[in-house]
Amino acid sequence: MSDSRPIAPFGRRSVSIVETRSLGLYQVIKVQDDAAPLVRPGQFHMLSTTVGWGGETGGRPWLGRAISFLSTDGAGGIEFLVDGVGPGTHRLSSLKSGDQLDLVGPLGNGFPEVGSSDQTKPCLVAGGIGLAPILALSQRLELDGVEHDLILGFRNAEFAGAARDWPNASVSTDDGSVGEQGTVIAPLTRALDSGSRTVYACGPPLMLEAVRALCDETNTPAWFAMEAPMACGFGACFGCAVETKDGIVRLCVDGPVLSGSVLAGISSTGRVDAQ
Amino acid sequence: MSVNFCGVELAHEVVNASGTFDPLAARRTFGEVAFTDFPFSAHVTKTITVAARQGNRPPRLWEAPTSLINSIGLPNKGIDRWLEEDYPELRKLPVPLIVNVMGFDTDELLKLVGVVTGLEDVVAIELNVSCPNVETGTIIGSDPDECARTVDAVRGLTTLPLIVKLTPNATDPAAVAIAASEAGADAISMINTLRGLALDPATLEPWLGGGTGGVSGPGVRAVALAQTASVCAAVSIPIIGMGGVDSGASANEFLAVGATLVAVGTASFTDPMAGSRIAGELAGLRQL
Repeated sequence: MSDSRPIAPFGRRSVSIVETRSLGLYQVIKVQDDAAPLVRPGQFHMLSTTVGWGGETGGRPWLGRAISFLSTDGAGGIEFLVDGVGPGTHRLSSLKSGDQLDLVGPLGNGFPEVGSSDQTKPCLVAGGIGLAPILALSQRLELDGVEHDLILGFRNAEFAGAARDWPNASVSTDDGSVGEQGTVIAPLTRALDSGSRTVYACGPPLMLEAVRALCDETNTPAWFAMEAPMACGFGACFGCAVETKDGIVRLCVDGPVLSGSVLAGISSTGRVDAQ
Repeated sequence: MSVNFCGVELAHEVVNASGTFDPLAARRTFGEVAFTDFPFSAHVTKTITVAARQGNRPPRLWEAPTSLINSIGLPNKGIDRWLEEDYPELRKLPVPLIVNVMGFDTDELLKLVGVVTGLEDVVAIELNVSCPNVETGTIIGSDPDECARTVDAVRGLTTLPLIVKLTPNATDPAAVAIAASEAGADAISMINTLRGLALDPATLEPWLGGGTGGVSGPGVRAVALAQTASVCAAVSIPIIGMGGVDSGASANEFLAVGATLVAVGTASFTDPMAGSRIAGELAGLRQL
């Protein structure tokens, strides 16, 4: 993949939060980041709060948290999507308009460019908080006039509230309380049966592995935005290693988007929910 | 403020700890400014071994209170590919290079030191003796005699300053430092990480792919400071002190107990320019 990724300003900077809102059970934090207005869907930032970071819950959170953006206005207005599952994401979820956010980014490679002349139709698949980079990509494709499928999976109706602004999405829930009951695999299988596709996916490891296996079986090109415990986000700590057919790579600089062709399997051992 | 370290003039006292700042990855992320505004007065490379290493299986990180537990496992491309691919790029940094090497036996170490000593822009060699030695089955850095033998084996191969990186997982680091100094080491760097264990809260099984890991960050600073003070009092060679330095004030503590340089490691993870900030804060403190 060409390495024309948008470059991040060197160092950590502080930005003001201009708006917060809930999206289903998730929290959206909007900032105005004039220092780095160009971001590519699938890239991420390391976020921490300027005040009240560390010293809580036994000295955590302490390191920044790797968070994908949900949308951008192309002029520095960037929305991050946060799921409050641990001390860091809880603190981020509590932020209000006017609070200061420290960030480093944009980081990582992001999804490859999708051209309107591409032969295969993009099929975007998200599970849970994996929504963020997928909706960012969907936004970009809409702007570019590229028709695409959008398949979103959630645990239940409360989480699926996050899909409310995307009426054209195919929604499924584990408990069937909204949309189709089951995982994203059934709607994805139908999409793949209806014509050739290139898949772009983000979600929990079990979902990604199921998507990867299906794409592998059907010779469908696929790109996966992945996650691993991460300390720095810029290749310094060598912590966010994932195993690929080409050896172990650093997800922060060699990913977080990896081609399905280099993945033999997506492991759940690197799950970040415990952090 | 500029400082003389083993005869090398450095712009300020703050260098990076080995394995905590990859200038080439930083350049991919931040562009050329990561080189032109390099945060440190010298670049200490990640440990280089003879053979390429993949490193430990993930997961490799665990956040603990004000600290980080890592089990990285020295991933690197091996000396040959490092020489071919990385060294020509690292030479473009505006600061001198300190090359960190580790041999799994004496022959490997001899090869590494022999190769590195002839390289331009390399001003010192740091020996990582804080990892298991497969030849003897001990940790060289925790045993004064083993450490002295290791320094003695390579001392004749190079006129470059030899820095010995010590482990805090030793009964008496000062005794190891004295042995290294008497065997001809020119400087000591310390501390490497403290051995630590993180359990998966769901299963209570070890979380890290490597089993145990190494603890770094502000949570270990008091231990690092005490050990650095004890070694500074025991030897007359210069010390690079490190362990949880995250501000000019904490860097100044290491200088106060006798260190000549201070290394910043984990703090760079939260801010890529932490080294510059800490050096600036330190200069400000010195002017008071």
